[in-house]
Amino acid sequence: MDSRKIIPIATLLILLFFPLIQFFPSVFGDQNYVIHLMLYAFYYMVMTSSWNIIGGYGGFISVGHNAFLCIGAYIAGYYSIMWGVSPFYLILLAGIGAGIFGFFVGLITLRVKGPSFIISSIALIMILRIIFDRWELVGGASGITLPYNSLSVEFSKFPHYYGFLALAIITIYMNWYVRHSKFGLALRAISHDEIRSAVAGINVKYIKVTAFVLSTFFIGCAGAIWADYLTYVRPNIFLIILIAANVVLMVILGGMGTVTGPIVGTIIFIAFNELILSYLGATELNLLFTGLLLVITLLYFPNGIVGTLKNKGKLPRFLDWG
Amino acid sequence: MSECMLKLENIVAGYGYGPDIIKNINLELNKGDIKCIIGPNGAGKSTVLKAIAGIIIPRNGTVSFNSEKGNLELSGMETYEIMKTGLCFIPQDRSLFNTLTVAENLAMAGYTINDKHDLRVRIDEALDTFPRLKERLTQYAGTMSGGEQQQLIFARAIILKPRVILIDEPSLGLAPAIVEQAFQHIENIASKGVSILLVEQNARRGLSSSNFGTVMDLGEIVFEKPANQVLSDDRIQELYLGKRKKK
Repeated sequence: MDSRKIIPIATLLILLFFPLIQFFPSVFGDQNYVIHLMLYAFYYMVMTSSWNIIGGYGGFISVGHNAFLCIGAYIAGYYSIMWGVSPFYLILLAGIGAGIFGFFVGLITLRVKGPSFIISSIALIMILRIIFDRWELVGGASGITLPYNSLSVEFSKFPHYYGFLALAIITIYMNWYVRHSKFGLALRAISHDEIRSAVAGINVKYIKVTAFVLSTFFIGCAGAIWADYLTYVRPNIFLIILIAANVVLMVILGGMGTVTGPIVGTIIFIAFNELILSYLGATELNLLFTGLLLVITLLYFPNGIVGTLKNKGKLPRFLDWG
Repeated sequence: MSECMLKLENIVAGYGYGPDIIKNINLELNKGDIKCIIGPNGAGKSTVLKAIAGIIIPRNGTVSFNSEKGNLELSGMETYEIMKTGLCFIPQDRSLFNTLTVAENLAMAGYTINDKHDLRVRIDEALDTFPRLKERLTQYAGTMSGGEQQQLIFARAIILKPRVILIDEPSLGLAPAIVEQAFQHIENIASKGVSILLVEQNARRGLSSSNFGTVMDLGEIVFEKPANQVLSDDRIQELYLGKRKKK
């Protein structure tokens, strides 16, 4: 086996067994925070990889994709209270709900491209924010509060860790699949020119909307787990532009339209942010430095880290998945 | 009397809610013919092709296409459906995807072909016709020279094995030597029995490769003649020198 397979498989195995160190606090100490950081990274990987399908391959830069996170979270939160089940059982339902919502949103907003599409995606979160702030059925501005899980504190993050890990693997696989499929080829053609694509025989509308639904589905699934993790669903947590902005910046940092770019971007972004926080404290300086990181990276890697290395033919083999 | 491949009857079309750009266009294209539409700027030449390809929906009239499965009425169909019937459209200003590689562009050309083996064979045939492309499969189409891009465009067209090709301004923005190549490709393709409807700004060059010339002005067809007689017609002088009558 070459490094292209060994490194990802080894990483996966390490990630699979990593939380087990919580069983040996005398040796490793309490690593709950590290586990939090890792599941946080997986959570963002789900979003960046699925955003990459419509944003990276399709060229539709949505800065409102957390709208679907919110829909997923609300569906999971609302029905988990109503039916008395854990949101974990409702992951699929949350994804399907977000996907259906994404279908209708996509039908409307995917008609336009470029700046108009970006603005329509911002409008989407603003509209949802107004609706959810006033919607009494789902708790209005104070949202829905969910019960804690019954696990003891050192293991309480296990379900979310493995949930997000599994979801991240599926999403990354999906991203890889789209990149190498005829569907993905059509999507990249559409990103370049819609009329030329139609002339090549592509059903442009169908491909665009399908890609959009696909990308919203996984984000909706992530919303269900994230709701359980936070134990509450509230408009001012889920419907802020910062989440979507982070997602977009992570993908740009790693490389839009690549399979490993969203992963690399997420890891670097979160690690760097954490580093600044731990040295400079929880001031807002981390935002300043994150901005600087982006400026400097894009100065030297104009197509994102993975994208630029790939164009130069210097991408390490284990990151070269297309 | 040769077989009629494409027939336009009373086509009226325009953009959005704007005025009619082309009015009552009647046109016939026979098997193996190259028909060149010429006319001054804004005459509606490209609009005719767009109306056939379904990029704009005709407001009135019919487009009938003699496809493999018999006669088809194209007006009202979506572009991507029309492209599956054996009609190929090469839009103005190249039809390539610059951000995709040459191999991906070729695969894209055969998007409507579902049989993978068949597609492979057709791509190989196209590559045999244009061997230069074989060395450039992994290169991005946008980074190739004008002549190579031209080869890729025609390689894509022959992969589809279309019955009719619509070409919008093949000479636009190309060096004279490459324009010459483009018309060579067009004549080669037509000699295999493919009908070609061509829109060309460079009237002299366009007509010298064609069998028929159609002259358009102000959205209407002024006259139609065998290509070698078009330029000697008096009405041409009026059109191109701006002496046309006010309507």
